[in-house]
Amino acid sequence: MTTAPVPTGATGLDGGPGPALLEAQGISVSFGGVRAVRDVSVTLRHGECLGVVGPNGSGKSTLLNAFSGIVEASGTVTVAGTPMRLGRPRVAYDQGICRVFQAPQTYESLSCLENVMMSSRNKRWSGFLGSMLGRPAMRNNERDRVERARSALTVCGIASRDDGPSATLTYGQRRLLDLARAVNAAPRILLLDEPSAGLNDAETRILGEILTNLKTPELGIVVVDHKIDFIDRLSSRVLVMEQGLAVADGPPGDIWKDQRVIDAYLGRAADSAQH
Amino acid sequence: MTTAQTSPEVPKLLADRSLPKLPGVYRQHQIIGVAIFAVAACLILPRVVTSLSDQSLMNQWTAYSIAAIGFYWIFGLAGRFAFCQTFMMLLGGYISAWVTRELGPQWFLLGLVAAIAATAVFAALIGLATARTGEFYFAIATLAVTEVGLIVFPKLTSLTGADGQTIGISPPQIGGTVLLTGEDVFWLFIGLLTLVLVVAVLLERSPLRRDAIAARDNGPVARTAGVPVVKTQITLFALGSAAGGLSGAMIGHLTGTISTDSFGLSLSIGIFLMLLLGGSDSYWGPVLGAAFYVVIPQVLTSLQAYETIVYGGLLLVVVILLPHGLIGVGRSVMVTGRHLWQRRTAASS
Amino acid sequence: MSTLISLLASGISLGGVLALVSVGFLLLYKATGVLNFAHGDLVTLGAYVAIWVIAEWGLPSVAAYALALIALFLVGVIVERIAYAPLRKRPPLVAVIATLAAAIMIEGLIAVWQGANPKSLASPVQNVIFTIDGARIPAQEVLIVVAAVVVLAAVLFVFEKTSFGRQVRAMAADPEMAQLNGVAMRTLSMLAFGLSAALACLAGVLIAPLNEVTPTFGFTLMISGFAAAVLGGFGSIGGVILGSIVVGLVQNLLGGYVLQGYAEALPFILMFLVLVVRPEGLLVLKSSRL
Repeated sequence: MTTAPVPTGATGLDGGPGPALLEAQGISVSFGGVRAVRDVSVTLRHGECLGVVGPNGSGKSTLLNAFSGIVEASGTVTVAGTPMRLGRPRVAYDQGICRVFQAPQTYESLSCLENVMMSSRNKRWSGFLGSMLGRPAMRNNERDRVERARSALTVCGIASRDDGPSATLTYGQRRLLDLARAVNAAPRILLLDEPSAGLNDAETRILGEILTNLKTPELGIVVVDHKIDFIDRLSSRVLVMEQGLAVADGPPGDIWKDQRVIDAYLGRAADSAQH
Repeated sequence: MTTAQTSPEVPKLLADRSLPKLPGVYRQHQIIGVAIFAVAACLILPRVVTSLSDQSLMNQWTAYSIAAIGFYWIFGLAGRFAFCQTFMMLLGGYISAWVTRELGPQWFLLGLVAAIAATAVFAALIGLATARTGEFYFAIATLAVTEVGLIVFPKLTSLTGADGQTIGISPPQIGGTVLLTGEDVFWLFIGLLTLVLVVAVLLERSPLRRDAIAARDNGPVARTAGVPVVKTQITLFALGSAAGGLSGAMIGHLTGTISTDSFGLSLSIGIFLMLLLGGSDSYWGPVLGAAFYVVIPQVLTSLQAYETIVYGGLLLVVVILLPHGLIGVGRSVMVTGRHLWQRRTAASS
Repeated sequence: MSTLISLLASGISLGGVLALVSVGFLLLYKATGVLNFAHGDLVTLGAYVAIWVIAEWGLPSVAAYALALIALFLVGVIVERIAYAPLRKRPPLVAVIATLAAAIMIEGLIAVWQGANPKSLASPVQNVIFTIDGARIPAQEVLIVVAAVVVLAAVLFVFEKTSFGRQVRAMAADPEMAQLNGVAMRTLSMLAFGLSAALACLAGVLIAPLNEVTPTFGFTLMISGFAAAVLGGFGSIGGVILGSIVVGLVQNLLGGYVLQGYAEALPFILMFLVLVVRPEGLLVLKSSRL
């Protein structure tokens, strides 16, 4: 998996996370009078995995939506030092932000391979000219895209599906396909929205292994989920949200002992335990 | 790296590439299908279709097929319903007629090129203007364009003739040869249809198809995955409209007239019907649908007055019962047949 | 001055008719999520039924209107049964295509039944003309405005304040939830289609006496109604009414004074420009059907 060049001073997982990769200040999102995210500030560092937890409706997914450019948001977001325009999905993609959504987004009219290929960073000769006049060049680049997509599928454990139909995938496989699509785009920042939802214990464990294998000193990961131990194993830091606000932000060990978190979150433990 | 698992029924006629294998779509030998179609059409049709009126119908079928293939690109592939295909046909027809009128009938091919270019550019402009509109508003916007066109064209008498009726359009002419008979025109038209089909095949065998389907089936998610949704949709809209322009030019030179009466909104709906009836999943659907559209009024001559009712009823039946059109029916028949055959051979062994 | 007044009057009355047409369309969309392309042809059908009743049975025009309203209500229910109910589980596009098919069939049926030659519809006030400041204003135009105001106010009242309106809004906001809460979906959607058709019929019989009646006049009105809906914002009834008045005025005033002959094109050009500038339409269509 190719990633962005390593910035100087980045330390690996053993040395702790590197410099700031994504800095969000004062992010607010509201629809129709409801303030889904209220003035949230959070920093994600190179090589860091940030878990985001909170009760339903606390704004976690909306925060990811803001980072992905899908919703209009106010506030500032800086990626590796460069300010990023909010509300534009393509801008987020160009900044290396790749998103996996809560529900699997499978394009059933396309094969598994094609589902992944669409996110390729290599866009040379992929338009009208490529299809009509520059076919040899287009085919060469297609081979390159196929290679990358195949390795993304392999990393995510569904290489066997390759060019097969995507309509017959199981729920768990569709989630992995979404992940492969995100991985294929050589992300700097990976945003995962409840990746383990709907997966049984075995599948969740496999997912955890895949995600652990994805980690590099440059990549930043944000994982929203309800399964506490899943978050614990994966994340070096946890952000707790409630009703659109950032309630607590710190290492997992400290977070679970924080009284505010206990009050805000464990009061709805019954809610999260059902997931 | 694991080896690819190909779909079992695709034979490998050409040399196997040891390089990374491209997705299945690149190996379906669609060009052969087009070649077979072209050859069969050239061999069979001129023998079977002999009367003058039948020949005219056959040529209309080729022209409508092209317009319907264009609509397939716009709606079937890129997923944006546009009412303006009839407008593009009108525009193409007027422009081609104007070129041959001003410069002379021998410039027929230039007229075709001008029609294609003008409609492509016009559609690109409309596409750019409506780039950020959602599906429904895009459809309404193209409806607006069509309505404005139908009102404005008759006023531009220098281009379109009195009351929007251009008459006396010269027959097709290539070099020195004037194509006067239905059969002569047939060769040209089937050639043009084959050309358009080749373009369709090239499109299917390219990343553009993938991007179009991604944009069509889930645009917002595709955007986050870096798919150039707007650029893809505008490209296909321009391409499809250009096909409409070519079709209109062909009809103009075939029948000798272009008027807003024969290219109204009902034609747009007719093209939609062609696509739906034939099957909106592939470029063969519009070809089949166009054949039905052209033939049905002949079959139902006694029901001339009921023509629109029949069309409406047909559309209703097709949309409720045949979601994948006639080609879908054909496919289901083949699949069922194959299953029955497999069961039979399994039972007998 | 007298030209201005008569153009204003015809503009406002056209706006009133467009408001009736587009509110009927919008209400159905709000209640069922269906874009009923057959709506315009229901307008036409309403006028033709009234014409036929008068011709066949010699009834006074108001009685004919009443019968037409009832007939169109039933037609609306039939359309719901044929083109909507069987397709509830399919993607929404399919239902829209089905309404398009119904539109084509209705238009064909009208042409076969009554012929394509223009006809005219009688009206109780057809010979009454007011004169204001030298301008001759047909009483029909006044009748249109009065009827439109009364009916639209009633519609707004029903929609906002009655339990029927509440149920319709619940069905629009969340169909599954509404069903769970015991909202009678089937009855409601039949009622919605029927009422929408009745509104279409009313628009038809109101404007028909002013012009000739042809099998396509309703479709044309519906398309202008689209323009009105886009301009005024497709989300709210009030916006649609406002848009209708704007379209009516633009068509008559600009068309009358400036670009004669292009009058009919103006609302569409305006609508296109609005869509270019504000691509979401003036109000977001999907965020909530309300």
